[in-house]
Amino acid sequence: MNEEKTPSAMCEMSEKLIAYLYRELSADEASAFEAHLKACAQCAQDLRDFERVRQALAEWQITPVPRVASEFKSGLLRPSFRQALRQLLLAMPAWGRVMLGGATALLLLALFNVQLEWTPEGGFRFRASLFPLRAVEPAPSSEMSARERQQIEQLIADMFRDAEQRRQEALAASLQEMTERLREEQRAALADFVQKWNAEQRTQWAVLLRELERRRYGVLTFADLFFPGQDGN
Amino acid sequence: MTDALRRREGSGAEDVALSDECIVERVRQGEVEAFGTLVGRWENRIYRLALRLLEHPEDAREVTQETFLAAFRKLHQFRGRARFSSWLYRIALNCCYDRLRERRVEPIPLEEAESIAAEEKVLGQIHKKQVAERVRRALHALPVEMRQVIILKEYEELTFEEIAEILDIPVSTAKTRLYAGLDHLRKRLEWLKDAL
Repeated sequence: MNEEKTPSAMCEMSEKLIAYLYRELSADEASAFEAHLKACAQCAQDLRDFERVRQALAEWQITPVPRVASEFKSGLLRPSFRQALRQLLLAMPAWGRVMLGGATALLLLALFNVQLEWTPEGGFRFRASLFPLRAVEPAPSSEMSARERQQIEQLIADMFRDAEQRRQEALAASLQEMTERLREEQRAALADFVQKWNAEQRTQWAVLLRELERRRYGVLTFADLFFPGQDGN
Repeated sequence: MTDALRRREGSGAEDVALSDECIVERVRQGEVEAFGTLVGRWENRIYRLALRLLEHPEDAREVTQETFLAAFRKLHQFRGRARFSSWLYRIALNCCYDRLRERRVEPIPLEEAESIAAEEKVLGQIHKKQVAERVRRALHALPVEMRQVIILKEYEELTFEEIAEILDIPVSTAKTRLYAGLDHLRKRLEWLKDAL
């Protein structure tokens, strides 16, 4: 049986050629094939070319570093995570793999906050994000109702009125303070003036009395006794 | 092949004395440590096979581990109808296929490989290391069915019967795949004619 696609120019003795190339023919078979080689240029050419290919193939050598045996003997032969996972999957029954796949899919959907929403038009909308979606606040309506407008205007008017009231109160307080200060200054100035005026009046009275005494009684007068040093000289 | 190759792999005298199948029987009877002998006997070959198919040392190492773990766990399923080595190779190849499926690497088209080869040809003298690299790339560009037969035959030195047993294909199919693979490589490595 030969289900393989073979090269177009393949001789019918090609299998013998391959066996001969790898020394797997018996002595009789080898002799018979060597006789064929003398008559078949195609096989002779193939043999030369294949020997050269084998020569090239021999250049690729690998020096392995065996470690598995020692690890096995020391009990350290452990499958990697990927190996263990693969073996677990292979060991699982089909329904187990389906369940695991479904659970993984759900986990991923939850992880990425996937949302599937049905739209009023009959379709659906798919949304996903790494972070949880927040409830979307409705956009402000472009058309404000008259009542809302009135309320806002009222609020603004109240705000201005309060501010004006506070400004007037502050101004009145400042004015009152200034008036009080001026009144105090006037009172103090008046008291000072009265005091000076009284003193001057007393001085003038003293001078007048001294003069009167001098004229009436001679050199020493009654005023000199009561107002010493205020002789006006 | 197996006895001669086993000796060449450098296992101890005691290991060589026992066939793989005898050791398998001992493991089945509870002597688990004996499985380490099988690992030591075959790990190099499994690793090399995986490395040639996968081309990544870490992947090859993991596949080698997976192969022996799977073999140890499925040892009760081994009936002895095929050779232990064939059974082990089949497990290893399945592990490799899983990795290749995960990677989904498409083979390089033959025309593209030829154009790359033509460019490289003008670079001048080709060193042995470069030849090895070109061979690796040429093999990598082959369909995996051809590549695995070439690797099993050329590097693992298995007989056509053993290859057919491992791959569960007729011997003639194994030979045809090998012929087709060598034919592709002949075209891809034609420019190496003067270097070799």
